Amino acid sequence: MTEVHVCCGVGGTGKTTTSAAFAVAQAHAGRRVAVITIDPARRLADALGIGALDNEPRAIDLPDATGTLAALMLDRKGTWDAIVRDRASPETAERLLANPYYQAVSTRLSGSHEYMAVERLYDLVHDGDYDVVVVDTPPTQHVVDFFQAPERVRSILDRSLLAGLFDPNRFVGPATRAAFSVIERLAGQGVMRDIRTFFELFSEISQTFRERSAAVAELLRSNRTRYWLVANAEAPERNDLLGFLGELQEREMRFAGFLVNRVAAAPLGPFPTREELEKLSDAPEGWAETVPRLARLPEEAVARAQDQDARIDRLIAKSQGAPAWFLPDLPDGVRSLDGLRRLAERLPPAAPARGDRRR
Amino acid sequence: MRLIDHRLVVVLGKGGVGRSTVSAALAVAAAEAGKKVVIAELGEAAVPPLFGMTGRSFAFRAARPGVDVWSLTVPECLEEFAARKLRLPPFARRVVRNRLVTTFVDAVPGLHDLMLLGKIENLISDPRRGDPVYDLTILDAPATGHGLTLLQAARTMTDVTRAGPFYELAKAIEVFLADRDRTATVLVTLPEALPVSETSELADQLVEEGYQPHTIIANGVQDDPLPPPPSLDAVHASLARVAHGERLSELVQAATARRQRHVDALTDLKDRVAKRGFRPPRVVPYVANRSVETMGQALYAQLREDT
Repeated sequence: MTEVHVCCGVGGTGKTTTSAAFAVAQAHAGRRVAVITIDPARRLADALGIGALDNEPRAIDLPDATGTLAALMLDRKGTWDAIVRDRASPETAERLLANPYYQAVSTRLSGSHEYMAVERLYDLVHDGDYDVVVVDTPPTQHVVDFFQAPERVRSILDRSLLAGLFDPNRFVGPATRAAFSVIERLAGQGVMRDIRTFFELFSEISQTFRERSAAVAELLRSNRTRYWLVANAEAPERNDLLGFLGELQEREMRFAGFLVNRVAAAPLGPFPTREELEKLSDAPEGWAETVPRLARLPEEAVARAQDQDARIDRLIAKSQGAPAWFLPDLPDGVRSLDGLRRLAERLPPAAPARGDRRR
Repeated sequence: MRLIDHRLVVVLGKGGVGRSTVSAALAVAAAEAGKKVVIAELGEAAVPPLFGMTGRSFAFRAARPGVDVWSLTVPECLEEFAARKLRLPPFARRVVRNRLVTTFVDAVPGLHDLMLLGKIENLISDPRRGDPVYDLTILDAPATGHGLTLLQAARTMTDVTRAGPFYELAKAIEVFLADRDRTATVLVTLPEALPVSETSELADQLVEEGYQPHTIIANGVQDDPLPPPPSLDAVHASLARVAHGERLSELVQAATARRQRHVDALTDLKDRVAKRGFRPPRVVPYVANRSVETMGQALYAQLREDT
């Protein structure tokens, strides 16, 4: 049975790189792994050292890994169109694809990216070609957006909930009638017609759509799916942590732990004192100006590491001591498979939680 | 035209690059140049803490001399828009809080962004009586979709609608955003390899959408930890002659590697920017206490020379 690992976090925490490193770690543990990225900026392709990714899994060559790794990048519009073509009659599909409201929904409705990511995940799990699927979630302002988005999209597309909105004959109460009139006056009648047509056409597939989204929701809640929170050591509190954990608990989803990025190595003293540096005989030119700067480096490194430690400890305390894995801040950055492998060594299943913080 | 002489500056960039910090520093720089500035943020409360303030508010709040902050949300903007366009009496305004209306606003892509942009455009072009007048509005755009979706919102709306107040608003916003004398876009990046390559991708997408990025700002650029002389080799050689010097050498290596990473990324950024014919990138230095005043002064020194 395929395991699913969902990497969550707000933008800018290194989620994509961490997801890729996590996938590499799993492949090195001998498993057949697929990683889905939703990132339109193709960061994953960069880190994996290949030119581009697309909607189909592409094999990544991992020398001396016992497992395999494939990567794909979600094409939101492509996935929408494929669903429509698969499930509607050819005639309905053509009309839907040409509907202006459908085009806006499939390319720009907020949350539809997240929803399609989950759809694609469902396919990969059901193909049975992988032991592990790793999901890099779309960059959202708040971590919880990922969980709420699919439901929002579902509720919008669920005709039974919304049909009334676009059928003026159904309104009876004065409050609803007033609301409808406000919308119609602001939006214009043409929009209402397009939207009505969209829902009429969409009703042909809304039953299968509903069934499938129920199955997807089931997969996300099942005990084969685990959630990781990717945090940045410099500012872990930016990650809307409590909302995320609360949301998981409320939905009985399994939180697996923190993956903390860019952790500074704790500097290992003792260091020479300022006096010892000043006393150096045959010092090179400019040494006197350099000494104060040199003497400051240990302080700065210690302060940086302590600041991070305090922030990470607060993060862990707030989650009742959930396990955390620390990823080092590689001085030359993560640009290649080799960098990913160095991060992978610090990740499960190979590495224990709270492993050595030294580089 | 100088960046700070526009009416609206939209600050874009991926999550975590410090858009809010750069928006705040930019506001300080513009205020130093004598402008009256407001920073608009959308549904967030990221900017106020940078000026030692708490919470978010739809009211204009003074952050420092010459700079106000203002946090907008969709319901507030929608209510005002509906009241204004439909001339609703105050007692009827509650209608926009009806579930039908909120469901509709959620279901139409781009409508959220349109409401927010509409309020900003109104403040600048057609203020209500009693609204403050600003020389410059700085919009701290959301990270999601790199803020591109925000700029596309007006076009999304004109694709979906053909008439009515939403359509007219979208048209007005489209014209305003496309007017290079009034609106400028700023792209924020970090001095690292991947953010730089993403930022140039974003710049290309913007150009495709018809927006010429005005200025690219690299945020958090580290100074040289040990400017020569002596040369780095001489420093390491000298440290080898001091007790425990090798441990300090390791720290020197880490600090200079970080600096080198920034220098390489900045060189790459300059190349990419030059190739596209944009003006040279500006730099916000790494400031240990994260003071937006210090960053703003550094930015002011660069931006006042702009042409």
